[in-house]
Amino acid sequence: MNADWTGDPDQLLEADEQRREVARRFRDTQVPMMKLWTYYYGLGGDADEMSFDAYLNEALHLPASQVGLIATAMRELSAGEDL
Amino acid sequence: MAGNKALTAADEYQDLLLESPGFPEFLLGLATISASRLYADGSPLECSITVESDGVPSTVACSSEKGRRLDETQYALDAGPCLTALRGQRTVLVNDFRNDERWGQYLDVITKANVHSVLAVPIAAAPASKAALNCYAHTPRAFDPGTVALVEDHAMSMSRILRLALRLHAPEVFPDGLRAALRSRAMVDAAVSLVMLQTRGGRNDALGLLHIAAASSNRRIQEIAREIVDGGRFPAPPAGRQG
Repeated sequence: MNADWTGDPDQLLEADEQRREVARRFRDTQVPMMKLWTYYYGLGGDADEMSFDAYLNEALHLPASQVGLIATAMRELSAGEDL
Repeated sequence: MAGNKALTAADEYQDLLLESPGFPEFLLGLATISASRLYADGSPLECSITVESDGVPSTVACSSEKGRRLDETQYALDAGPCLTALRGQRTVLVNDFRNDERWGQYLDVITKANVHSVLAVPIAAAPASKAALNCYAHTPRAFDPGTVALVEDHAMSMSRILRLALRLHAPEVFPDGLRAALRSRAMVDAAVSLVMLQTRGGRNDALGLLHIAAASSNRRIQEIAREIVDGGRFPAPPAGRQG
């Protein structure tokens, strides 16, 4: 499902790959979705929980800046940083 | 008689809410303000405020040590004018304890404390909480109808700020995790605003700078944001994106 993608088609493959990696890490960390979203919100994240959920289930693309924040939220949470 | 200044002092209440670190401190401030404003029979009153959540007295604040003891006795006995006012959400006036047989054991305690009349009025609060203002006087019949009306007005004037305080401090509304997220978000937003000002850039770019600064120094975004807000130290813009 890439109907939401409006950027350069060449970058789509890269974004797909990045999303797959982020989604895989999310499954591995076993952090509850709500907890991750709350932490991501605290970092300045703007995506709503449903889009966030869809992204982590590889059903939607998000702007690169939001993807970066999701990755950072997972990194900080899994580094033992608790809310 | 009633040398009362129970006018709405929204600013004073708001300052109190902003300056109080927690709900108990806020409530103590409200009780103190009440005691400083309310008079009966020419004498100042001892005031206390009780907030009860789910049927349990959760917070009590008194303008004096004696008031605190009298309130605590009511909770120990689970009866008294303040609890009646609070639970029934109606004004309770005891003109002279010596001639009032409603209060059982509480009577002994209150007459030993040299308190002769009590006025307890409800303060409208959130649906899950009930509150009341309790005024203790050392003379019988200290509360004439005019004073009762003024105390009721004063209680009403506190309703709005009390409801705000309950929302702000209610643990069930903001569990610790959400509180931390809100604090973090406020810090990040402030830092982003400062970076935007400095770089005259957009929000996404500013967030990106924070993100890069955190990743390159292996620190948390929140730490970078705090540094920016506290010290005005900005992360260096990446090459090719000079502000």
